[in-house]
Amino acid sequence: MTLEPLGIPLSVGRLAIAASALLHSLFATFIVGSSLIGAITATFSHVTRKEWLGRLARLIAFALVLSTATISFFGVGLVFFLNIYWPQFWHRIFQVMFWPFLGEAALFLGEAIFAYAWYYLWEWGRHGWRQRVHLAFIWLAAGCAGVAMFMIDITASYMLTPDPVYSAWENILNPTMIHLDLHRWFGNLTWAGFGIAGICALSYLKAPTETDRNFFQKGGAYGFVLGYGALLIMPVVGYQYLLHLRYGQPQAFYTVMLGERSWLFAFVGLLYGLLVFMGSLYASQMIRSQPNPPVSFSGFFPFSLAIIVLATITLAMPYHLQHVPFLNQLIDQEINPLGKMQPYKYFALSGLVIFGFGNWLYSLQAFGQMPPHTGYSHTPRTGRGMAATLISLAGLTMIILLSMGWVRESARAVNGYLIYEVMRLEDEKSTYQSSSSGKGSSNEIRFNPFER
Amino acid sequence: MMNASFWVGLFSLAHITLASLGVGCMVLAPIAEGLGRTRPHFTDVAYLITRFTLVTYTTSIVLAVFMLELFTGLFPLTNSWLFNHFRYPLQFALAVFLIQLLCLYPYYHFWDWFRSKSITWHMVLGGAAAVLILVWAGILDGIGSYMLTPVDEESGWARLWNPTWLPLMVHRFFGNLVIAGYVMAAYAGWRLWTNRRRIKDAGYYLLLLKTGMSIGIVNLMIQLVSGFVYAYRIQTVRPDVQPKLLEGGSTILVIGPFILLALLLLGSHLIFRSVHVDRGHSYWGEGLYVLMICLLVVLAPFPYYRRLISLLVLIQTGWYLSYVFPAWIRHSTPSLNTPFVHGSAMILGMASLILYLTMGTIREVARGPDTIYGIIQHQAEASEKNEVFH
Repeated sequence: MTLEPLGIPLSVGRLAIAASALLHSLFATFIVGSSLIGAITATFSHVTRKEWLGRLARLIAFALVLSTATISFFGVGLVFFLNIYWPQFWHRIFQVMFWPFLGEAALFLGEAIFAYAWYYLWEWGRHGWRQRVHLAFIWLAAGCAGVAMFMIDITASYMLTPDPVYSAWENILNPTMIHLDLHRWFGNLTWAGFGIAGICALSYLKAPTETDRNFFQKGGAYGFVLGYGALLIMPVVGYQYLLHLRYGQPQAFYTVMLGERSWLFAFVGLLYGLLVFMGSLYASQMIRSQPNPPVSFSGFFPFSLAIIVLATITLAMPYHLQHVPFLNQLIDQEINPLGKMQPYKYFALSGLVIFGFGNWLYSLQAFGQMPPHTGYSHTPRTGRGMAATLISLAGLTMIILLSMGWVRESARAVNGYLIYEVMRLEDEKSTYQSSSSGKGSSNEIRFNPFER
Repeated sequence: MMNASFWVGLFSLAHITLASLGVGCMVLAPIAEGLGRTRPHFTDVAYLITRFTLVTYTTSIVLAVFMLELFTGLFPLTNSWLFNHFRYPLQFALAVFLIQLLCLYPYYHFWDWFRSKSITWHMVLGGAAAVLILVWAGILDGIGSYMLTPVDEESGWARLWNPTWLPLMVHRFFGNLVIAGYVMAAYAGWRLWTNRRRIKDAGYYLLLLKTGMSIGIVNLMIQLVSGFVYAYRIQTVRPDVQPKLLEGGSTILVIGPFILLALLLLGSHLIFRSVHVDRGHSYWGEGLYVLMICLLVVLAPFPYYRRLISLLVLIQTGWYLSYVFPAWIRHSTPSLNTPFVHGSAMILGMASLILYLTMGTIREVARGPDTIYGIIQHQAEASEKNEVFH
């Protein structure tokens, strides 16, 4: 069969796919995390009968429904772009990953149906046996979303570590599959937690009544506690993921850690440090708003903040300076000894996790002591400051999430692969221009979608 | 290969069912809102159908992703050919789709806020969503019609202008309104059925039932004409299609829709008949109407006679409605609040959906043995080449 060459640079296609895939992933990850947080919140609300939890669950349901609607559009958009710009890659990966792709789409359908039933049947599910059925909807939605993510992680990890290349079960359980999935679980919870906290903070700024402000304050603190807790587990899971990447695909590992894109990893480190730092600031704002803050906190917080700042700087320092864009034109020095992973960055990560965890424990205690019907006792200025911190946390999480996706894609693309050891970027070039016979873009190109 | 066709067909039909309902409701919502300015019940109707649209619409988009993935895996040649040759219209459609979503979601979720500022601008927002979804559907119809009646053109835009594009687009537009109307009436029938001991909302649901039935029957009449134009156009461009459909097992695909059409016409007639009017309930006239509808089914495989009978049925239906409608619209119609009418409305809702799906199936069968007429054959997508099956 013949196709028309696109007659545009390959970079246009790369840009279109990258933009649509990243936008898609931003909403997909929020759906997975928020459906789980929604299910937990609804269950707490059902058990404790606390009004604010019910209201928060409904807010999460609304966010979930809007995200589901948005992602269904981005899903269609991504499939359209893959078909148009990378048809050879798309058909190749589809030949190998037909069932995971189909499973993911079917489960996403399940997630949409149950999430919609949860939101739109809210009034219906208020009384009697219907309450339990209504609660089951969000757990089913969360279950579908979680398994759908597992399916797509099979494909995503296979593209980086296909080992061996064509063998069904080995494809599914490739060396980085489980670790990528686990990493994404905590990443999604972080993003959804901070995302919900950010939505509450924005609503707090617009809330017309004191009751609403109290509710949004509480909702923001709730999202923060969940998001920040998950954030602190990320380095542990991320370490395992990178370890398996190192054994599964050493070239890709080298590219990200020491090679051409190591600056991107340092950038992710900077963002992670900033997240822990901002989270600690919010924890301190929570604690200082309490009527009787713990005495130990006044000693612990300044010390922890100093360690966190130091650790963030260390984590963000690149080792190979020549790989940092523009910097290599300014200085001749190639190596920064302080940017070495062993031991400096390990110490930095440990510092961030341990002292972040300390602040998280304080924030958990402050959250537990919040009065049931009121928020913190503070001035409106402090309230706005806390809201700004939560919005910053949500914004930073969005950026780190997109950067992490970029890191993983870079690990393949920098070495010229679309699927490691299976398909190269070069293989897609023929989609863009006809063979070098020089007859221009009106020539047709040969295309065999059955090819492996 | 039949298996592959079956699965793609099944999910396409599931997608189309919800999508067409969504499109129909999206078109009707701002109109109902406009009517709501003088008759407030219609504002509730507009809100209800928009809510229904949002739920069905997103589910239909997710089903579209599923259908596209099945299509990619099971019909890779056809899939890549279509995406490649229609890439500019498809990208334009995608942009339109995004703007449409940005109109539709605020239209529903900020309903009260927008209406408190300006009802007119709120209607404009809903109207924009409706127009944009028609643009999206129109481009997809262009690709669908091209698969049956392709033209030898250089660009994707020019390929959209194939001989059956406009007739298909018009036929589908009214088809969407037919099922939106009948399903609306079916929903009202169901609510009246389940709440028959509570009279609180009966007035509202009776209005909904009457509105739905009116939309359904009027557009069904237009469908008879637009369907004729579409079929005639196909026959002109591809004379081989009709004989192929009328031979062997395919005949049922021609007779089936006419059985459903007869059911819709008869069922609608029975519901309209339950309204008390001063004249028109003549047993001779109604006997003749039933006879004509039976003849429409019996003569379905004979195009010339079928078209003649269709014309007669159309005239009879129009004539009957001309004296039922004034009473139907202006007067209270408590006689509609009976279990018979509720049940009939529900059956007609189902029948309209099945009718829509059978129409879609006919077009797919008409293309065989090609997936894109004269360009790609079913056989080329055969399973022995396709690793998905191994």
